[in-house]
Amino acid sequence: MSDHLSQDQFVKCAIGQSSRVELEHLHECRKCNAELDRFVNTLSLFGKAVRHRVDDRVARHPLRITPMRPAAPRIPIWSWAVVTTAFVVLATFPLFMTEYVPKQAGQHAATEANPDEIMERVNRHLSRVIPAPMEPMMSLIPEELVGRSGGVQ
Amino acid sequence: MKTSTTSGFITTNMQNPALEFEDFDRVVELYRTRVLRFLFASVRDIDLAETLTQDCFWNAYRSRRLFRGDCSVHTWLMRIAINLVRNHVQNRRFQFWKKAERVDSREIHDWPDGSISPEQRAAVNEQVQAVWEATKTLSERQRTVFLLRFLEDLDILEISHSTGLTESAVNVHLFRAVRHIRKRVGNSK
Repeated sequence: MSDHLSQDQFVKCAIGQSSRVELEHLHECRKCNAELDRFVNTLSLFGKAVRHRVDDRVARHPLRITPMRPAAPRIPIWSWAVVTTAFVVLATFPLFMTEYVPKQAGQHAATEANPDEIMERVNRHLSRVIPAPMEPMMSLIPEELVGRSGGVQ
Repeated sequence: MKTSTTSGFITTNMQNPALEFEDFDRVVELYRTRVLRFLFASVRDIDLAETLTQDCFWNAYRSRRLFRGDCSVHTWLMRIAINLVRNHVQNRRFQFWKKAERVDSREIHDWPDGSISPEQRAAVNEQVQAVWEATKTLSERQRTVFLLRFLEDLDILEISHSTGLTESAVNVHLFRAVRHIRKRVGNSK
């Protein structure tokens, strides 16, 4: 054995698990004995300090325990997580359901910048034979009927 | 038939253990301070410790019929308190935005004892503060075992009953906790 107790031997002594060898050393070595006393005393003081703190609290705040009254039910944290996730999913759902059609912004702006193009668009709009919403239906009407008297035109 | 344990005034009616809870006010009166003390040192927040103490007695009252009398009332209450601390620690992992500690360590060592000199008082305060800070860095299990041993003065068998650990596991946790505290307290000198 070295001159003094090792850390582990010291800790064993502090928690009352010392072997005969360590006890003998403590009996002979004043330094280790004093250090152990100091450490055990520190732990004891810690216990006293916490006791004092709580005793003081209990004295200042008399018995508040009412066993017949249940504590307010707590909502577990995971249920909040589930609710939040559900909310986020529901809130973002419409975004995924709507088809995103990217606008060709550059092309559109270039077209509008040209007065001839604008005039052509206006003319096309004015010369339409049927309202714009009905234009898709034109594909359903046979070619020969289009333009005939009493026909679509 | 009554039995007593090393931790003092605890008695258990072995024929009908649930009778221990007939006078529940008495149970609360006897054990409130000890439960509060353990919870305070565990969660380091006196208001939260009060709330958990209330929860502890409420849980005990609700499940008093399940008390079989195979351990003392105090051990049984400590077991409930340990579970509450464990739940609190698990919940707090998700509540990282909350302040972890609401106790100023100066509160812990405000000594009423006027018999010691200011110098001695300062030295004592420093030591106590070092241990208090060191317990914060222990794992939850090590802290529980340490507090039950050095704050509640429970023996290894009682700690084993309270925590559900084997006696050898309790010894290992206690050894590691004290070694850690020894290092931290040594470093703070």
